[in-house]
Amino acid sequence: MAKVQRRKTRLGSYKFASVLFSITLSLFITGLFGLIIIQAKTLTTLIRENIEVQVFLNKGLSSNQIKGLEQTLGKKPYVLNKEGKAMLHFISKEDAAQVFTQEVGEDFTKFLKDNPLRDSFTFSLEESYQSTSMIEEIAQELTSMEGVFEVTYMSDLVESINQNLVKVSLVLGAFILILMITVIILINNTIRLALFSQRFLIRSMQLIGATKGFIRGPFLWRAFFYGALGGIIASGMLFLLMEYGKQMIEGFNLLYNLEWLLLLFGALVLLGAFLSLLSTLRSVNKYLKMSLDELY
Amino acid sequence: MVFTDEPVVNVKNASIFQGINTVLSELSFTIDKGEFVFLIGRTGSGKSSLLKTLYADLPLVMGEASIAGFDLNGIKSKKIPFLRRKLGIVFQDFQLFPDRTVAENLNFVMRATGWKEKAKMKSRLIEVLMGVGLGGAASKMPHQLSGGEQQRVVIARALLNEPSILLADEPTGNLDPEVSEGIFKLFQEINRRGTAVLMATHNYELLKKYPYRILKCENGRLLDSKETEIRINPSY
Repeated sequence: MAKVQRRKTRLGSYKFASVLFSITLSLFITGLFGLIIIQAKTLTTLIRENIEVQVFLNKGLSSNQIKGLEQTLGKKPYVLNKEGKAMLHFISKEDAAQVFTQEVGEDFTKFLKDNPLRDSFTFSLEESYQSTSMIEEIAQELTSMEGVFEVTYMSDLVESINQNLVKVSLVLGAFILILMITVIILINNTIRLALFSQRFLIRSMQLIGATKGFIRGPFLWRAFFYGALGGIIASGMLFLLMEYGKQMIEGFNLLYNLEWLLLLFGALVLLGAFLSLLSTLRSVNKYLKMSLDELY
Repeated sequence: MVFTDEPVVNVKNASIFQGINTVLSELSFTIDKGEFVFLIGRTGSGKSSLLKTLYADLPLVMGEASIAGFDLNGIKSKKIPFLRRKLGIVFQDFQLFPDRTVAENLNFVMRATGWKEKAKMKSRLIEVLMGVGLGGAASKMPHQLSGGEQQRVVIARALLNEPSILLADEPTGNLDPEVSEGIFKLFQEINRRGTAVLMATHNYELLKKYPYRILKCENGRLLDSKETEIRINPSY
């Protein structure tokens, strides 16, 4: 006799494909926004690293004095450090004249018979020192140093970058808030609908004397699993999207931040598992409290 | 099983509510260990509400009641599963899982009610199936069984935890007279082994043929054949 083909409906199982699809899609969209934020943050850092402070030195300083100044500046906390190296460059007046000559196409030292330019240091600022007021303080401190003639920076640019970043952050923040609410409602509704078909199974379990913990257990475990799985799939899709972007868009590499990306993926998995778990807990508890008449 | 002389069911001055409506009031009755009682009344007279109150699906708001050693007054929701393990519930809308065998159905219930040892589970499974005359049905799917056989499995499931009382709501409602008779005889057999039975029924023939004690829901009151004469008419 041919074996009867059957599929067991385990306690806690439901049409998982639609639930998984909804969770994955919701998390993918959330992750996409997360990616945009990470890219924006990396872009901001890149832009801010271009805020440079130029320190012009007095004329006639000895090479020892210049070296001393270089060491002092290199130890300052506001000078950007990358991989243990201060982003501080010395430009001698000869180098500066050469650059200037290349830019204007004429050697001004020949008709002036002198080089009026000065030796200078240029450095980028650490992110936490990039506000206008802090840069002003730094400029004052540097100006008072012996051997320093003048300190310059593009104050308008700093102001403008900072103001625009605040605006962009506010808009993105509002979008994320709306998105998160939508995602929570979507996941909650999908799970509620899926569990609706299980309400009589829950009822039967109650009538035979199963404890609430026994009934909830399989539902919660599956919800956690599908939520986390949705997060993993969404993360995988985002990773592929990033890889595609790296190959297709020039300069995309500069905005690639693996550390933040891994954090985002971890957050998506946790978010999926948590939201799915919470929605399931709410729904199962609702059906556990319902009487037979309410179930119909 | 409860090994005392205390009644299995003891209700004193209780009122049964369905939502905010009083369905039955001033109820007082007891059911002794090993007693067989019919519960009758027209549709909507409060039979199901009374049974639901007894298995703590509806709260007991007024009066006092205890069943199988559990006090129903303000019973905590944590205790309800343990109360239900002492009751056997046989209802029409409380069916078998159609996607698993008889043995799997029963094993599932045992796991859900705290059974852990496989050997004991297996032995209890055989015992209850033999008890309902379905020794060879363990590996069958519910759809491979007749209506009467399915109802026997439902009864076997209700007996797994050796209940003090069986609460049955229309257990023969969907069965033909011959099969109904067989199921009823099974209830009698279970009753003879010491389990009390409270059976809600509309089966006039059964009431006539087996003169057990009758509780009748009528006009918001519960009449007891132990105290008053109850007239049975076919409309029940």
